[in-house]
Amino acid sequence: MTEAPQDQSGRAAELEAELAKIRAGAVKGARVLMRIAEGSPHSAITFAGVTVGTDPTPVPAHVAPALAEAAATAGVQLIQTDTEA
Amino acid sequence: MPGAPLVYTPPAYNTGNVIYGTGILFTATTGTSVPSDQNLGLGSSWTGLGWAYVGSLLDGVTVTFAPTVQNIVIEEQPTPVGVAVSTADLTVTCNLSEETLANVNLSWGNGGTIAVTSPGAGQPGKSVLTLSTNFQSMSVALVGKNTYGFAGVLYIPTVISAGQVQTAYRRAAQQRVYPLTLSAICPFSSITWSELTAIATS
Repeated sequence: MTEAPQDQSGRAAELEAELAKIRAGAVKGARVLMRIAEGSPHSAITFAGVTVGTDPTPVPAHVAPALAEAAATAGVQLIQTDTEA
Repeated sequence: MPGAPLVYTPPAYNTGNVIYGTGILFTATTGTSVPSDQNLGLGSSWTGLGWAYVGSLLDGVTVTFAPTVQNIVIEEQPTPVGVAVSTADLTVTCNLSEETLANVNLSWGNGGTIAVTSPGAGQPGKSVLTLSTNFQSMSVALVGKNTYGFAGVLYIPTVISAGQVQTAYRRAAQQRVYPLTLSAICPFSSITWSELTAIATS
């Protein structure tokens, strides 16, 4: 069955979100959830191989402090939403 | 009195062990898992786990192992009685041919951030690389085809990009290339070279 283009786009977004979780899970160690702050003009930031978007994204704990600092330097507003075990 | 005939019979060599061909270079956040053994040769299994493929290269990948040693000598003997390893530098170098912000950042120390702004009303979409000298470590994997025709993987868990980078903007002589030098900064015993040798039995 052929899906409508907008459905494919939505499905692609779902798969990208799922892929981001798999990728984050592939990095050993504890993780924190971070995302771009609401109202920010930015939609994503990439640092040290980690990409954070507007949805909560697991970030390796050892990368999070440097990411937060780098984001501030780049003028990107990041917020931490939670911590994963 | 005649003895046994003198013969000259060298051992056979195996041309099948003479390997050539390009290597596929991946980088990732330090600590990123490598694919399962079954999928070591599958490019999408690497990228699916967050490994980034550096793309096309000017002249392939070069792995350089350059130990320096200290001879331990005694007065009574002209040859060393021992050789101690002083330093053991392992580097992976290549010239990135694809000019992307990710590759520029990678060759310039991997310390920058790439902020993405989506297009909107009066706002063109853009990506901005903000550079930093706070170089970030990463993991690197070099995947090549081995003598069995399967994947062979050199995995270095922690490297730093800290090489000299010089890029020429030429009209027609050459594409812009970004030299990449990745130096291992992990215990030597944590570096592995895996070779797939046979398919699974079931």
